[in-house]
Amino acid sequence: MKKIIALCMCMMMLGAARVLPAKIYIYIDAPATSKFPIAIEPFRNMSGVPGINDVASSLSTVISGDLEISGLFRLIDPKTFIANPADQDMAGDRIKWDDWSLLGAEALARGGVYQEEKGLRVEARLYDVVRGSFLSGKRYFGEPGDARLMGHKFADEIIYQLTGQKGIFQTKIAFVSDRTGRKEAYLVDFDGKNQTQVTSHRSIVLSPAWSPDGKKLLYTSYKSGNPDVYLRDLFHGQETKISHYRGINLAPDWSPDGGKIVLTLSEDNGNSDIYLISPQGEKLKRLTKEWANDVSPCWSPDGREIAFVSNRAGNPQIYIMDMSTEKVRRLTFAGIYNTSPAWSPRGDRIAYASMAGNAFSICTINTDGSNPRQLTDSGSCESPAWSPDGRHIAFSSSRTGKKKIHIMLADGSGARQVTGGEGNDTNPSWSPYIDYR
Amino acid sequence: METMKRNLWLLMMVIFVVSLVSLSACSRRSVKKDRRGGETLEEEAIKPMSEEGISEQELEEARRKVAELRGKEGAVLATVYFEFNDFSLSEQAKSVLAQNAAWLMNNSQRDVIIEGHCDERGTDEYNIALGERRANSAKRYLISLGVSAAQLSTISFGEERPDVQGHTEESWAKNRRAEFVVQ
Repeated sequence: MKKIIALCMCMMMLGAARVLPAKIYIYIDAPATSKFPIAIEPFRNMSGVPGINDVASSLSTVISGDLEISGLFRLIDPKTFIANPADQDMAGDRIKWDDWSLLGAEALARGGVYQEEKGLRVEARLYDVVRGSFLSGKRYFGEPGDARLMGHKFADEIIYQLTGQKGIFQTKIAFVSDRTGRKEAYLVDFDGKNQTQVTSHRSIVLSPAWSPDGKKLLYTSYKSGNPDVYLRDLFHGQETKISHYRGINLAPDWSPDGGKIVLTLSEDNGNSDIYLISPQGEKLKRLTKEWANDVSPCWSPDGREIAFVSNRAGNPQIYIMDMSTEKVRRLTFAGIYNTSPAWSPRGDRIAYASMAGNAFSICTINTDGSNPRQLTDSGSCESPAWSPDGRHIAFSSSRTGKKKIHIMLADGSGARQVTGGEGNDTNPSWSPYIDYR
Repeated sequence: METMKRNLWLLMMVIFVVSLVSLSACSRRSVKKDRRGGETLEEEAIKPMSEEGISEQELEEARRKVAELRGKEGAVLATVYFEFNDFSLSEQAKSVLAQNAAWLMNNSQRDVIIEGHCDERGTDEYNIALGERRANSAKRYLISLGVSAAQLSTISFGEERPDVQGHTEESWAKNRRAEFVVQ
């Protein structure tokens, strides 16, 4: 990751300065009626050097994969593409628009890879096929190993140009895995690539949570004997123990404005309650004073409320607290065991895990408790985490045997497995928007 | 329904006993050994066992039993087991704790960590809170029986350290426990 940043993959507009897209092609907020048809032409090897064929094919694969995962597009099958012998360079003026509109494509993405003296140059462009016009172009410099990142960047650009909103294709998911025999924190690209181990505590690491700037990770670890909260700078690798009060220091969640952290402490005779601390660990406020166990707090995106789990009515259910009045209302009533609330970045829905029998399923519910929906029905699915655009949910599931990280669209469709290999992968936490520019 | 009734009853007990005991409820100052060595002096408010709905009479009876057990040979620290999603002490658990109290009072120079554990069902985070309650249930009962608070510390491992592997009620029952680890 560092190498890529150090490389400073210069990126510039081929056209004018960045402006809001002139036209919105896909309305993300509107109920999906039909998917937007787009053609991704295989990226070309423009220098004829054999070494860059892989880079070219990796670019088109990554872009197609990203757009597929977004659930917004219908990708035109490349096998049906009509070859145009006149179109040998990358300029748009020789594109035969009819060849693309004939296939039903409304947009076309194409690009090429050039061998430079130092590294590679990638040029990628997006066209409106219906109008026969240029929409956006990007030029990236890097090494062959940067192909995936360049592909994700251009896929984000396509999303931005067609929807007017940011894409999630450079985001990562933090999670916990016991693949070494101990639970440690890991990172993985949202599409399952580039898994890296974050901690080597050889203890128990739980509940990772991102800082709002995406540069730091909070987690609970038993590293020094007690479940304490640690803060790690992901770029410098520096780790600080920030909350080590007597008893449990559990499952922190960073406020959207970055100023505060909610978590569970159990100083009061082992009774778990929700507390507010500063990012340095100073105790600011005790928020719940219940006989019951209060755990797993999470912020609303506007920072005005928190959702949390409490068994104050006998069984674990989700509750919401107004942070200004500290008034609490119960959110979930169906089922006897509802935990792990996660508030959508769009603010309208709360995802949670609901237990029936001995298996959990992921559900979402409006913040006023209306319209609960069960999204998963295969395997035991736990720990929902929203993507920063609120269109996807990551979760852990045993549907393929061991517990693994999966993602799906917020309506439960388009589920796919993200992590594979040995061990159980749990506790996913989706990063905020990341752009390593 | 059953749970609701029990909770209501529990709540009434709490209000009743707390109001009775609040005058005499003591705040003991204890020197507690830090788990990582060193001593920290802390004010520890030790609540009576009222939250678990145990009467003073019952405790008196248990204390007499502990005194009896202290005279006998071969007392060992044994594990206490719990019901699903519960941290209240069964009769069986109380009788094990009486034995443990006898051992602890006979070995007052030994410090013990009480580990709270859960079965694999439920979420990791909720289970850590539950394990903490189990460890503290055991700790407070021991203190009520006369064990020095300075001998006891607690930690919860939630569902992270099962005693037995397996996905049946038989395995789960063995994993819902408070274990006693001598330092």
